[in-house]
Amino acid sequence: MIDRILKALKNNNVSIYRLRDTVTESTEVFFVKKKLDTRRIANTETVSVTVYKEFEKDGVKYLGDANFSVEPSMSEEMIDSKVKKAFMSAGFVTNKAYALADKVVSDTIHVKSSLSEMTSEGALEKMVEALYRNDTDDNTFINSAEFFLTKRTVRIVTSKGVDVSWVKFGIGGEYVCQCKTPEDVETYADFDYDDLECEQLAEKVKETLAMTRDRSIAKANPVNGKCDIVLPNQYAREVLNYYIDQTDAFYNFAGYFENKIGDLVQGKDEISGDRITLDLLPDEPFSPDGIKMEELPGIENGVLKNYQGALRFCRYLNVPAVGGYDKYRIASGTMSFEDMKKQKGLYIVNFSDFQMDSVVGCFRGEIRLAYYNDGTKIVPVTGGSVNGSIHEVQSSLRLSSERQETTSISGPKAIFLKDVSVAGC
Amino acid sequence: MKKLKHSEYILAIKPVLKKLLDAVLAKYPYASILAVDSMGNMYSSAKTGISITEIPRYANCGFVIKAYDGNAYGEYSFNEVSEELIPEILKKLDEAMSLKNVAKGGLSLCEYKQMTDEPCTFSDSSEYEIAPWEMGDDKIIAKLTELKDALMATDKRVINAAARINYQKYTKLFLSKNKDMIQSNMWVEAYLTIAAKEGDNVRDNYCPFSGRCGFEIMDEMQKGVKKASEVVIELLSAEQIVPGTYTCVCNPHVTGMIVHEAFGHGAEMDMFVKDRAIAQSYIGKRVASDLVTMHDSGNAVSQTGTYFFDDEGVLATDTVIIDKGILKTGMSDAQSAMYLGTEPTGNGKRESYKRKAYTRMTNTYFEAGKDKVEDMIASVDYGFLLENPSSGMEDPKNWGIQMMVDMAREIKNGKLTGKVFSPCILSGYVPDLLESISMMSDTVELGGSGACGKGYKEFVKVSDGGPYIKAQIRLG
Repeated sequence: MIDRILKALKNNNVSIYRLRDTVTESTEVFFVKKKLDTRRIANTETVSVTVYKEFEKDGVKYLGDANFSVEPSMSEEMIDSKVKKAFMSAGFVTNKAYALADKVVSDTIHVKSSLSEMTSEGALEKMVEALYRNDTDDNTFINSAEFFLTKRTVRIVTSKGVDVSWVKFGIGGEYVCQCKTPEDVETYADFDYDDLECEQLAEKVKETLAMTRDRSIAKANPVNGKCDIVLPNQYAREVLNYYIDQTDAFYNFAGYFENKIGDLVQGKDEISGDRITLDLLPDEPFSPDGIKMEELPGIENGVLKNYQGALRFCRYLNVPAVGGYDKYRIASGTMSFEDMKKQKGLYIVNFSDFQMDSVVGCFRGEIRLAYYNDGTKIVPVTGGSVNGSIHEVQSSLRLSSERQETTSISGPKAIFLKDVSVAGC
Repeated sequence: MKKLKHSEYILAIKPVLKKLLDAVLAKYPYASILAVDSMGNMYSSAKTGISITEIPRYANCGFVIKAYDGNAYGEYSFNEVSEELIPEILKKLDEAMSLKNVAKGGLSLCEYKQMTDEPCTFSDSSEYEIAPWEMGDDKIIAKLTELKDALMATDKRVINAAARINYQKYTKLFLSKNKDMIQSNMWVEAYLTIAAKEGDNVRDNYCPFSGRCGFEIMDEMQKGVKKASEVVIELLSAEQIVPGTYTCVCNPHVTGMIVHEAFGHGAEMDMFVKDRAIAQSYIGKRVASDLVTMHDSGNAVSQTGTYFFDDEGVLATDTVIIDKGILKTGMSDAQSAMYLGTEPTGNGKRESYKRKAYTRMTNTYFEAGKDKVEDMIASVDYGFLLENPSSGMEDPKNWGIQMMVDMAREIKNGKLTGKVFSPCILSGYVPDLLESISMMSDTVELGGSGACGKGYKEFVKVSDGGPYIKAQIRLG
């Protein structure tokens, strides 16, 4: 398809462009209880085309762009028409001129994965077996599950000479565990791996089943008011996302954050908790603009070291354009996970949904399961909500010494936050 | 008003799809093909720049075959088709069907009956006044920039503002042995967003607009500028709420989120199939105050969730979910209905041709009551007027409520005090909230901005709403 699009671009005198060709092969199976319900294959190819137009207005130089996608069934006339329309639209986009990514050429990179060494059916068989391995109890079991095995082949070609490509496998999905008695409850969980991680999945399911059993016997959350909380795994990551957003060029250009390189990101006062050290990790070999993604320091001992993010905003801030990062590594703290759980307060293991709003600085969610430590005993509790402000807790924030490793974070397994507002039942 | 035209591409490729369907039917007892050609653009003018871009979720063109092998169903999604490719497509479909072999050990296969295939020939499309492709991108951007500039000029504490409009225009063709159905629809959603800063305190606010219409909706956006700015400035002085259960008046947007998140998801009957919805055991029982009548309707109202037929070739219906407080039924896709022995309600929807169909809501809302909003506020001794819902999450199994609301206006002795609290989380037990509804206003408003996920994925377009409601709500 790339050649057909290049021809249309040339015919329409489009000299600045970026193409991203993505071929996706997805194999999917859906289970209800212990039965295979639906099976699917989805094979698609889409090229995302961005055309740019340089122009000048009232003495100001602009680089406008517009974007469209091309799919294999489109005729030459349809592609030509889309190019014409987008090129005209780009002339209305008055974004101040900036430099696009420089030339880089690379052979196809095959991102290492054991999933590449087996058939889709074979890989799914193994993951399905792992998911159901610990489903041995009639009272607490897997209610339903979905698996998505994907192979993505990506190629980026630009008018500046970028021509890079890579192949990446992944397997992800979700499952729901149910416990029938004494209370009929469920727990939702998802998974996402770059490799055939059967043991990790089996262990995760085991933990989810145990969590669901505890939710079934949980009492109403009695905590009302300020309380210390421990947030593990994905919830720790969600709060720590605030710090990756501190490195995002967009947030800084838009004026939401005013941290400059060298500034402290956890406030300027002395802090009693852990300082954040965050390294940016490439999730894919190249950014959408074709910039080679490298490991990079983001925050060191609470000090901002580098911005990352969209090319245009990096150029506007006059900082190196390094690409946008979603994956990161955060250094461990000194407090053990066990010590965190020993503190009075709530150790919250499951929310219905939990969100960090980096702009406002608040994190919040409804509690599905927590363990309440009143200083004498620990009991499972459910219900109520957490509504906290990162500005209020970041000076005393503690990071666990234990780690979690996922496709999106290498970091502390848990965080400990003091005096967070909790609404009980 | 003008009627949308069907996609020329879909009309041109239809003979090939019919040959493909015949080839599939030669091997499998039931098969259908859904063909989709959709265009969807986002236009935005912000302080940080201008953008004209396709929205991948809403702009795509492709096909999905669903086949039945005598036991269960399998699918193949693809986006290249021609007569020459038919053997290759059949091979891939066979591969998908053979994935049943992954069910080993103690796992087995679901057994389904063959889908009924009532004869239906259908063609229709939605109406609009101004199409984006007729208006021209230059005029669209100029109008959005005017709105953005107006937002920026409202207060010196405003640090960023944007005016954005998205649309999707799609044609869907559904073919089976007995069905030949085609529809074209267009929906539009627009937003004014604004952020303000005072010291380190940053707040943001958005004002949404939506409809099953064209870009004539841009005329409404101008009216939102003043309100969007006033709210974000008020939020700069917002306090944190003291957790507790309060008498609350919810505006139609918050009512809509309660309808959708707290109850709607739990009435999706693919959840009944999985034994994931407590609602299943409440059919015929009271779940809300007798003031409450709730609909899910793909055809009785005109909003972003409106269509003529669903992605399984079932005509849209108007389903009364709750009638005067009593749960009557859920909504369902065709396969779930077949499993449960019920009638499908036209709620089988896919995120795109690339994804599986699930039971999904269309336009979900409470009917109006008889009260005046001012009387509702005047009846509150101490409580809050809730506005600006931002997100929520379903809990069909346990009817837990989780909703984020960005504005709680204090009411004291029947009057708004001017004091505001933010952000707030609504929690509690769904029937407790619904049974506590004691007043409902006399007009209904629906909104369809954003997208609805099934859990954390499968995003589709819906709308929700209702009247103002007065209820007891747990806030934190």
